[in-house]
Amino acid sequence: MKSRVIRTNLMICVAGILLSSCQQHDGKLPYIGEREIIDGDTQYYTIPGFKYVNQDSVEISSELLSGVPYVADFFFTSCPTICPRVKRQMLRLQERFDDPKELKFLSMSIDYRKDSIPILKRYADKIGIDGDQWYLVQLNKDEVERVANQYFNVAFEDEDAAGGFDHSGRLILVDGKGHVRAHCDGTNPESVDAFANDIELLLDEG
Amino acid sequence: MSDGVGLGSLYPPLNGPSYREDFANDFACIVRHGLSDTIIIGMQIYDTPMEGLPDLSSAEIANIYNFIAHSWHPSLEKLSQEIVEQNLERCLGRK
Repeated sequence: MKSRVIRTNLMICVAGILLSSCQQHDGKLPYIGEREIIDGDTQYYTIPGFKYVNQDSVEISSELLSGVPYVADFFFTSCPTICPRVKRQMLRLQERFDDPKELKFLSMSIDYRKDSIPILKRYADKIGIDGDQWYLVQLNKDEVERVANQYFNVAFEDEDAAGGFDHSGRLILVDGKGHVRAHCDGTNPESVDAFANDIELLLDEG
Repeated sequence: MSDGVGLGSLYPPLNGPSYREDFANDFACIVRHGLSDTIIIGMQIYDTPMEGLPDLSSAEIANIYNFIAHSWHPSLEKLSQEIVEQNLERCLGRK
């Protein structure tokens, strides 16, 4: 029970970080997260380096994604609640931005027990995911909470939750340098529409 | 998804033609306990296991059924909470 209170506080805190970053911008996306000034240069928050294996057993690393913006989310294949809605919205985004050289998708499964590569592959095939553009990877047990937090998301195991995990359905836009630039509620089509416009803005930055 | 069309061969559509009166009998047990069988809807095979939603009350299950019926199958009769409870009694042995 106590841990649930802490989680709830964490969620509110994360929501606060996200809300405070919702500034008006004129044609350029904001940089989300903590920033430092080093030698007069502003260092924006950067997603730490990573190395995963995708549904086609191909290594997906931060180096590979360097220079290419991507949309990140957290899910699991047996998720009975929000994931189907979020995946539907992501498919809509993939239809609009269908050039793998321009934008990638990184869906990280938080089900470290069940979502092995073959399971991810079957899931990808069943909803028609293009493996050149959209990577499904499995996080291990130690990574789930930490990596979700890196993307200002919340995800953790919860035996009381439907399917065994609690997580938020946010989509996060990361630019080619690993900076977080936009986010939206992946369960809400209108929020995703605005997010798609943010993606356009980012691609226009070049 | 709010249009009931499902998602690829992962989630079957709710608006398809293959929902009949006898579906009402199985509905409560499927929602509560999930489904691991292969099902065929509209010539398409669906074999992804569905997790149950054990926390939903009988009234909530009836509401879901009635929402589906109202939205896409207006000819189906509404399901009462009492009938859902009777159906749930019968699926206890299945799990």
